[in-house]
Amino acid sequence: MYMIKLRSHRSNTFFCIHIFLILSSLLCCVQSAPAKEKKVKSEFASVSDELRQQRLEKDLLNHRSPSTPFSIAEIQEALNRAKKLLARFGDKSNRTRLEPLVQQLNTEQIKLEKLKQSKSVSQKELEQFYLKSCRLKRKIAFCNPLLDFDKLLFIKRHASAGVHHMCDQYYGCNAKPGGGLFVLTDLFGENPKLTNLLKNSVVKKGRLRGKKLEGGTFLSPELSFDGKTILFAYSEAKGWKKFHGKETYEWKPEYSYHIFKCDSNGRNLVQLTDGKENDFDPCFLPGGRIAFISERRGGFLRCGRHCPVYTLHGMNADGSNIITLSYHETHEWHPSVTNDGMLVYTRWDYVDRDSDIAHHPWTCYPDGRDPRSFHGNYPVVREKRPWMEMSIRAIPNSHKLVATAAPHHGHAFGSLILIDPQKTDDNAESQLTRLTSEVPFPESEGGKKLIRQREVYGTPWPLSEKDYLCVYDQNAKNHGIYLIDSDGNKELIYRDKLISSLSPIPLRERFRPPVIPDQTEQTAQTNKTGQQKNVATIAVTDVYESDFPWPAGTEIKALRVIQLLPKTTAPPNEPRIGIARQTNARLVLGTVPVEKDGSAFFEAPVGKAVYFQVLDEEGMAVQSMRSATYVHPGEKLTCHGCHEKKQATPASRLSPPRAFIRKPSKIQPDVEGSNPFSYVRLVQPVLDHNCVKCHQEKKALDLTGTIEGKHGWSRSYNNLAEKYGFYFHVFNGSINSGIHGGSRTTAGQFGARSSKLLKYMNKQHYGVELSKKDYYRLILWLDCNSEFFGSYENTEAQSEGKIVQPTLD
Amino acid sequence: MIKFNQITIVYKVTLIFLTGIFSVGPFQTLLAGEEKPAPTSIYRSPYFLVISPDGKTVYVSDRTAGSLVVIDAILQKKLVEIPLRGKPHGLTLSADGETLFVAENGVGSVAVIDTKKLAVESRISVGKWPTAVVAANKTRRLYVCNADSHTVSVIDLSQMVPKTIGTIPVVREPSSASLTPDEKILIVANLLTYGRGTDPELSAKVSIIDTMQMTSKPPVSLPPGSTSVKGLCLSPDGKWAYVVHSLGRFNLPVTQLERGWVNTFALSIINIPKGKRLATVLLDNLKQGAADPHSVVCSPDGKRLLISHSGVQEISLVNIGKIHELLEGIVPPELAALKDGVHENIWVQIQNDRSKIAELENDLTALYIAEVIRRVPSGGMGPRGIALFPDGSQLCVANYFSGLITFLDAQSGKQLGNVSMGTQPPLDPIRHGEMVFNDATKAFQRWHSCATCHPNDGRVDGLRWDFMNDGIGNPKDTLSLIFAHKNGPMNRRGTHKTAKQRVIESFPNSHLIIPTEKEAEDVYQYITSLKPDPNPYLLPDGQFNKKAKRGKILFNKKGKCSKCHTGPTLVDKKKHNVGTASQNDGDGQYSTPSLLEAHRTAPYLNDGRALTLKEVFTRHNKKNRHGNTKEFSEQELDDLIEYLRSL
Repeated sequence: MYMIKLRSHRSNTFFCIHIFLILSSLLCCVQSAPAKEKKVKSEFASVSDELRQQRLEKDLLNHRSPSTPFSIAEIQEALNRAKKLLARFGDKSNRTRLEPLVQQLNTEQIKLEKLKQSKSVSQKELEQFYLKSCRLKRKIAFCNPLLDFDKLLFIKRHASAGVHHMCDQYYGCNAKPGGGLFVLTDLFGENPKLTNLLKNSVVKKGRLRGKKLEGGTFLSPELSFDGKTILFAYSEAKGWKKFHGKETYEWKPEYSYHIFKCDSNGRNLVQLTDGKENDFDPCFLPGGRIAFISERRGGFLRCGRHCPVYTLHGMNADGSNIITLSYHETHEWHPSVTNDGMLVYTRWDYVDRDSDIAHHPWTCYPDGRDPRSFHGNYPVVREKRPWMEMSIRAIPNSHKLVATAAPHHGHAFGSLILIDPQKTDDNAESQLTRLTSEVPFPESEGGKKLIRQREVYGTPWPLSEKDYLCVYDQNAKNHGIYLIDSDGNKELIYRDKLISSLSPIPLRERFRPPVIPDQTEQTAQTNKTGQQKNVATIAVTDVYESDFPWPAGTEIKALRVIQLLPKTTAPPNEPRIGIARQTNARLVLGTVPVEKDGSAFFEAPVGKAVYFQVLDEEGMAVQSMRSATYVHPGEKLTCHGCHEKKQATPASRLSPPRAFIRKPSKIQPDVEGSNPFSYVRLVQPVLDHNCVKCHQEKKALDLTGTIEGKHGWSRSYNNLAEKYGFYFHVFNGSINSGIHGGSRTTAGQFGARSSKLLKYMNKQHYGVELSKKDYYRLILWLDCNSEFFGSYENTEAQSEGKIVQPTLD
Repeated sequence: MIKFNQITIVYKVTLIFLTGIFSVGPFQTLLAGEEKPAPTSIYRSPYFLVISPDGKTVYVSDRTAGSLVVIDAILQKKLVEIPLRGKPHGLTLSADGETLFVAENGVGSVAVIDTKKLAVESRISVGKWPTAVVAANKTRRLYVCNADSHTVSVIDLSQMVPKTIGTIPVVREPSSASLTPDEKILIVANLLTYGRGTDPELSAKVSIIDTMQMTSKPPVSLPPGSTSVKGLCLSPDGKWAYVVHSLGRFNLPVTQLERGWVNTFALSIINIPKGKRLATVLLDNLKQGAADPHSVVCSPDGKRLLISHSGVQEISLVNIGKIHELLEGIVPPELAALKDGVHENIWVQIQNDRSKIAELENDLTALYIAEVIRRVPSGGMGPRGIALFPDGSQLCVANYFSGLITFLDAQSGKQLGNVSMGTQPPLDPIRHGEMVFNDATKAFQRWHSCATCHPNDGRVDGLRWDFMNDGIGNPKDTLSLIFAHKNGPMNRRGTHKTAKQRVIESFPNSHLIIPTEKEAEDVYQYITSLKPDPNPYLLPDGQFNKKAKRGKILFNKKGKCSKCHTGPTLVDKKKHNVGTASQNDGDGQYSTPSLLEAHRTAPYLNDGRALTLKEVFTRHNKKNRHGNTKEFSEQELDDLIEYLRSL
């Protein structure tokens, strides 16, 4: 399908400026073959100026509507843009390069003035004048003082096959062979030249030792801060031979992406990672280690298809000592280092909420500590905001970041945006500036139908808040590399009409952010004793510090720590954990005390995705997180409050937090049936003891524990959960499902407190008098999203009330 | 407290001769009297500066070269250099621009310079450590801040021989002062906190002085945790005082730096007629501290403030006019439309409820979202003193470590030119170490420099901090680094054996970044180079006074203090339990602290629970475990304290 579509766009005039026009147009007819493309690669050469001009002109014309006649105004606009660029570069640019262009610009303006006076001007004449003005503007644009490099690293890559989806795009089984790792030299000069960096390189280390990286697929190039070492992911793409791009879910070392390293000249090529898991998106850390995205943590996504979760991992520069940096239970993408030495990346976050609209920037320390969202994680609306923000990079000498507003059901392309974390977040668009406003946000603006045609821009490399290298294709197919600015100027740098050119990186030394010391005992370097401590501490200064109002008179007595389990079964939404769709299996680790001043300090288990609830004196949740965090061995996490204002510093206190001046509490396990979680063990005994008999006598709601129905739930659950329970749905659009939706919990309107069931738990309901313990069991169930099962495995045994421990936590 | 009842003209310059030393261009260096020319091997460190009323001349004090440098502001060229005594500090010009007063810190004088002759005309005796000087032109007075005696000297300039007519006590180490246009009120910034470390509301204060009565009004407290108050200026109408300072969250453990968890940097706005603080706003960015604000100046129209940040080599350009409007509830519609989550933004909240002004103390983006702050590079390392041209068009910045005076466009912040103070020798390890010590870019997100908590050349900030090296929940009073390397186990709890180890580990532990080996080594070299200042409590000949002599005997004999406080820095390099265990330090074992400069390291004891040296013995030695002082008579105690102060 994909192939056919690709060919149907063949007639579009996409041209590679520097290469093989004739040869490649021949090849369009035989496009399916990576082997043929190999042939092309060997033909790379500079082309004549004339040919280059022709291709450039076609690209320029591509950017305007062919039905609009050329006009004086359009030419004036091009000249004005050139003037504006000149004014912007001013004295920072190379005068000797710029001077002749200034003169030329003046000459053109004079000519245009004359043209304005003339009565009849032909369209051809105007077209030529327009193109000339654009060429001049292009020359001036290339005088940008920030373009102080003459080599550009990038990859060529076919869009991945399989389901068109943010997760699937990086599974090696979907990789379509072709492309490579390239360097374009003299890219702003007169004689640009393209080099296939690995043309002569043979892998020196790893499973592919002795082989060349040919016939496979490249992904996510990265350059070291000193500009001397390149990392990238590569898949042999052997799945292609077997599946030919059909939807498939198979994992083998020869299908999956692995991380490779080479010198900036392509030499010393080594394989760093291997296995059936996909490893990609490598990112050099200032301290020398490498962060990357990997499926090694385990687990699958909860909705959709058989998609293994990939999250942040870390390793030494030689591929050794791989550790999990993120224990989050759903996917993460594209780590890069911010100017202050933190990692920034995209996290998909849909714990107890809408599954499709929160994949936004998160930061953590380079050792994985303290994952935090600073923007976009709790949407209030689905419209007019990006559903995904991918390929996030810090802008040099700025606190702002650039990202691609991308679709959920699509690839990492769309419209480019500027994110300002210092603006307050209205959970919609307040922190965003559209850099390419002509392209609406895919999926959130225009819905599913327009997704593919809006995947226009991608992989931005910021040079300043105004200037970017990025990839672009107006038809959202085979992207070319462009220099763009926030004023709408766009200059083609390189394009191969047969395949996308992606991830441009200036090949040179760049700013190395400060090295933040590791504060976990997880790496070989920091774990000096060799014995890893499986404990960390979490300290909260004041749970009442929050940006939401508390119900009047709220007194918080404890924190409940709940663990979210990675989904160990591949099929989507199977097994059904509970009445809420696509919900997480979870277990209650227990509770820790909160001091009178709102502080808490406790030991927390490492390497588990957890969330917190604040409890009143009855143990009822007043507020609950709808996200997850985790701690690492030896970590000492400190939090300011529970969803405190993100842009506030802790207020001055009259005394140190009370919990901090005592030993950390140990988590007190909760009642039977809470870990592992089991409705049958937690709730049914309460019903059996207090309700069943009377209900049977009165022929009221059947609350017996008989197992029935396709999900393997009990009769009482089937009768109670949906109508009387409290739960948040998880699906595409669940934000709009009333009390089962939204993105954030309203304090005091959650769980047991808000459930219908609680209203029946008092004397007014036929004199019901529950013991405190029984009452608490029901509260706990209602506070835990009214789930039935406690893990994804062996649901039959779970239905029978047997203890089934999760196989992956 | 030292009082100066007499003014002596210490030195009258009678001999002015020209030498052939040329530093920049063909300009002569004037040498006065006994002073010697600044050797070229001495670092140039422009500290404070003042611009002549005609905007043609810039006068700069050079703290390390010990001189005054005169710069042609139009040609941007160094004109002459006048050697001074001590460490030249603050300076002020008479209204006619003809007389320049320069504080000579460390030697107890203010040099009076005739700006036409470019020579020191006379000297006025003041406290040993004069910092800021303010000339009152209508009342013909000079106000001098004395950091040693925590006073302001009032000097009558109307007489042939200037005379001290009053000494007004302020709070602690006055650092900066400014006079209202009617000269009726003098506002004085006190550098450090003066209070018990255990006081949760501990903060530095701003003194308000009635110049006619020569009395202090109740000082204005800055928010808890405020210290290092260095910069102060007034609005041209004299209604507002603007004070810049650090604002530490000292009641939280130092577990992270992000979002101002430990230090933030603030501008406090004080209503002078009301004698009250209106607001304190943070100058930081969300993810980048504006560390170590040093000086602040106000534009002639009162609408803009310019602030130097010595820790981050930047100048803040602040639209104070708009901040006042916002504080009055005038919020432009586009700003009002900006939501903060589901809430209104802080400015709209203030519009609706003025009590929300207090929340500005914790808001890292309030100024940013209102578009009233911008930070621009200062043009060199360690910007300190700044001065605006009289027309407000340009700002002169004293870039301390670069030895440069940088001219900036006061509106855009664009650099217009530099003037070198003189030949700057290559950085030796100590100077480089000092630079790193003062450089907050060597900390995660620039949230502090070493000097933030160790201002005054490695001394104390008067706050207590809960570092993780000895556990949580046991904050410790900041120690001075003077001779720290000679003091044995480092820190109150002796967590590090050597100072070097301490320095190396303090970067990853307290600054949360890993420095280069050279940076850590040179900071160590700098710290070991620090020496005590001459003690103002000693007699002019450097000897103990009578009381102190008696105290010394008590210290060594009856008090048995020398049992632990022994050796050259008065430490035995051991830990002891003197009965002052704080919570979570069960055994109460603390390293013997040095007593050098004890007169300026208040508060005292491990957690700063004792405000004064006297309290150490009266309130906190009831069981006689901290020296045998229980039986001391009042007189004996006074003598002992006089001795301790004189160390």
